[in-house]
Amino acid sequence: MAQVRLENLWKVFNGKVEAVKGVTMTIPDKTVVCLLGPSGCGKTTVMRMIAGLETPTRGSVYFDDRDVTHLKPSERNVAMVFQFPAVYPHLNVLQNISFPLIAEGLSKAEVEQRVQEVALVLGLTDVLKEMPKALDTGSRQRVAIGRAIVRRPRVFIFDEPLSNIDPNVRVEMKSIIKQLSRDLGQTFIYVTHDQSEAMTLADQIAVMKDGELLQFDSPEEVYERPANTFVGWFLGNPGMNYVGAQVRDGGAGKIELFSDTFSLKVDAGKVAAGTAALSGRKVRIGIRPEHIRISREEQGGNWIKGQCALTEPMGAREIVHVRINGDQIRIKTLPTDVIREGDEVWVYFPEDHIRLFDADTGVRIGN
Amino acid sequence: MSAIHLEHISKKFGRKTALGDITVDIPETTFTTVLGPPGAGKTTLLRILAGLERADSGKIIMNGVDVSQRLPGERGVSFVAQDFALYPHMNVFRNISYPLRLRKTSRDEIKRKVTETARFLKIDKLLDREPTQLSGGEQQRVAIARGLVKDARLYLFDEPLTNLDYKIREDMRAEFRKIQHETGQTIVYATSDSIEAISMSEYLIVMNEGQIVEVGKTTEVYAAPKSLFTATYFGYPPMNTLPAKLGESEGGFTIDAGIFSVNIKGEKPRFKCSKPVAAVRPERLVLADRKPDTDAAFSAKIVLSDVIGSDTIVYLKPENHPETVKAFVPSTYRALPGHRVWVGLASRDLFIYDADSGLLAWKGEDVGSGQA
Amino acid sequence: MADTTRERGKVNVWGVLAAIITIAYSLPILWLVMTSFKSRIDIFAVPPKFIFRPTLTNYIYTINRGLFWGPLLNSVIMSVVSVLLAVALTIFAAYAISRFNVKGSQLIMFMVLSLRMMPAAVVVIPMFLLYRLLGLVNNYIGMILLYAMFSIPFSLWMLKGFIDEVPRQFDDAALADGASVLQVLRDVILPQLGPAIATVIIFNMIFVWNEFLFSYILTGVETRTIPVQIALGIYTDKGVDWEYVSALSTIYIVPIVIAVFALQKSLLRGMTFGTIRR
Repeated sequence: MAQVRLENLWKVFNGKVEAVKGVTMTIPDKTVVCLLGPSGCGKTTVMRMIAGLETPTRGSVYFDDRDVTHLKPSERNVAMVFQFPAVYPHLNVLQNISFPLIAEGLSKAEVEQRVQEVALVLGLTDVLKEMPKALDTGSRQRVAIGRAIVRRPRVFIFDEPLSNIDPNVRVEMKSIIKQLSRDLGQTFIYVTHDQSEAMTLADQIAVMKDGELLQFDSPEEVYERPANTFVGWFLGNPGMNYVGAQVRDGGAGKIELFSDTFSLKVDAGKVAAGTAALSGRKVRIGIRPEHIRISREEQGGNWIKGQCALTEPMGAREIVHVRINGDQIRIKTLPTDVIREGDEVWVYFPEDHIRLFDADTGVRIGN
Repeated sequence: MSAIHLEHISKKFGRKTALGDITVDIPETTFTTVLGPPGAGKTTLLRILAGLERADSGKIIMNGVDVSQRLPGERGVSFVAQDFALYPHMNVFRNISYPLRLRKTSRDEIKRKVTETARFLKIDKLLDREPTQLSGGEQQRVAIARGLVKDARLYLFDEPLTNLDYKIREDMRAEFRKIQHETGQTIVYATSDSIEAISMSEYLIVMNEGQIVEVGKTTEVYAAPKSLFTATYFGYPPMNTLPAKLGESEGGFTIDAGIFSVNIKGEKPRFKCSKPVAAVRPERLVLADRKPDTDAAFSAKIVLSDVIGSDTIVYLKPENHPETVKAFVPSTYRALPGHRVWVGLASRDLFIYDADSGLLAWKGEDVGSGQA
Repeated sequence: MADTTRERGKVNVWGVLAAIITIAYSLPILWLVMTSFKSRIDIFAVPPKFIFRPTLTNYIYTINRGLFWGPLLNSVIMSVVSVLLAVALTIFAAYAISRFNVKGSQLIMFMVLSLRMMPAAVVVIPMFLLYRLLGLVNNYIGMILLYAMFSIPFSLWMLKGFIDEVPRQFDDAALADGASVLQVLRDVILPQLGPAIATVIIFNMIFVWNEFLFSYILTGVETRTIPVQIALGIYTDKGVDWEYVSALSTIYIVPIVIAVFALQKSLLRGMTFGTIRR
């Protein structure tokens, strides 16, 4: 049970490889936080610095108000679950889970009681006498989790615990971890490159790229209001679409987003405050595939004309690729729509879902 | 006309049967997917087509000629494997051009074709790089380029996207579809991923345990799988299946799946259905807070709502029932485990399979909407 | 920080120890090389001289004493030709055994290795009788074949090991690209075996270069190699000819030292190949 605070954390390897570049964030107590990002984004290094497996080049790590930057992992009271289930092959499930407690010198009765509790939560009660060899990877990972939680540490760290688990078992593991995070009410730090694990498990998501923390927010916010174009693209399936445009005053509380081939008048208050400042700027209109409406009939108003480049059936839905003025966007529709490649189509971006990003920096402007 | 005709192909590795007597036609100028779980025999089938493996028995006929005994180089076949082996001592250009150099193509022609293929796969800026300087996705693009650069009668891809990030997969799926549409080649693509199968291919071959389970147009197979295996494998997620009882009723029959039952007007499944299984696609289930006005409805507890990007798969535990039911919601649907919801479904979305024969016995769309 | 300093301290202790061992081992060789540059008087000086005026007289004398260029050339020809022949042949054998289910390949591998298990002293007399019967005594072809035969077991085992480490996916990829089996070997496998082949060649050449017993028994004046010439030329009318032995031995070591240094990088890569999983 601890709040974890990172202050301007840097990690430079070999004096030149900047793996983490000034990460500052506060992970509230009893929260599940996912560090999410593509491989090489620095999420694992941040996690290792929290665990004490790596010493920061600069900056500090606090657990509550205690500076733990230079403490060894064993002195921090953190528990880790790794990608590969780390279980002792020569011990059975019961011995594996009780191992850290015996090392701590707890009484037999207490060990017994705690192990039984943990086994119950993880559904391991029936296999306590089995050797790890006899278990599948999913169950072995549960044993590893059991060994981690039985110690009642201050912070739990999960390092991509599901990457080597059979996809069929993954759902079960996800629901176990979700359940655990509710029941234990502990601080969970969960490292993953998989957006679905982050979206499903996290209370807060920290999106990282190239050693920098791009956004730290609730899953809804990260998804609906990405801090920049990368976050918008990285989350979502497919990610956010972007269409280049310029801004000018549309009069009557509206702003106009225009290019050579289209012009959208949208409510300034809904899309971006401070209309005057935006005028003349080059932006990218960001909108999620599931929010776009599409039609084969010619439409007036704010509908934009485009051409269908490709259709991808997905079973439950369909993804239609549409070319608009040099940009290609993807639209998620129901498979009943009859749109063919090469068709002229009209698309509509609902005001509530339009986000604007700076054309050069990719940073979100306004709402 | 059928480009490739496989007749009674079988293959054993030691005692293990990899392929057991396979006969199938692969249509020309079509994107065909071979879908099946790991170990279904997909890779063996593709390697036999490529000539990298020799079948124990059977014939492969391509354009009327038996090629069973020919070496890979003599078949006019291109093959890209899952573990894309780029030649480490050649740069990207030399890797892609290798198949052309083997055919003694002129230098200008090689240059033209390599550049064209590389531009198509967006790796034209990487031609001077060494394979070790590339990311996984770039390496795979190079491997695909090497497979596409030569003129082949048949292009084979064995799970080429399996080891890649999902963001790259997302792009590559669309690219594969584009490649086939623009070049009109005959492509056979093996995968265990339903999404790849449905989004890219026109034609589908479903395999399991060394056998072909079902063959047909991808959309038709998706709309109504003829086999129970396909129903439980093909889909994202695949169909929900529940053991059911069929009973007589006035002017029709009833399907009792334990957690719900529906009355259907019309004839009971004609052939013997000793172990009926009711099946329904997850995307056809409707989630609601109050009991919905659908043909059938049941109440369930949420086990997990798994947000996959912009979609959600909701795992549900119906009351007093051991099975888990999956519902697909095409948006982000957040609900805490333990939350109670109503699940509704229409009888026209129901399928009945016979668990003994593994075949489709009846489908709801034939009858139309029935009564609750 | 403290840890690193301690680490450095450790390295130094080991470094000093390593230096002492190196000096102890190389002292005799150093002495030999020094002797070759000393005048006759300095060689026999008591106490031994460490500082002296170097001279090339011993070398001029050695070259002019007779039977110098012949044995040198013989050593070069035999080690180069026999090893290249052996390696060229074993590449094909190793590839075949590694990639195809050759019947009895296990047995072949064992038999080939057993060639090297027999003590040379046991084989040398029957070998001499056989060679005399075939008219191969004091004959280049005979010696080259003999050394090639001795080089094959090591080359085959090493190269098969190396080829086993090259993933089969490369073969499959090249076959699918339209290559024949020989083209696969030439274009895809061989280029990846560079360090391995260098290692095998150097190891075998050193063996042939150093080989004494068979050369002693099977060669004559025309085909004699340097080690035999050193042994036979050591005594003259004036007793042990130190000038000659030291100079010829020094010339004899030089190629090996150069070869090992020049190929150090690929030798190291070749020797650790397969022991490290990447």
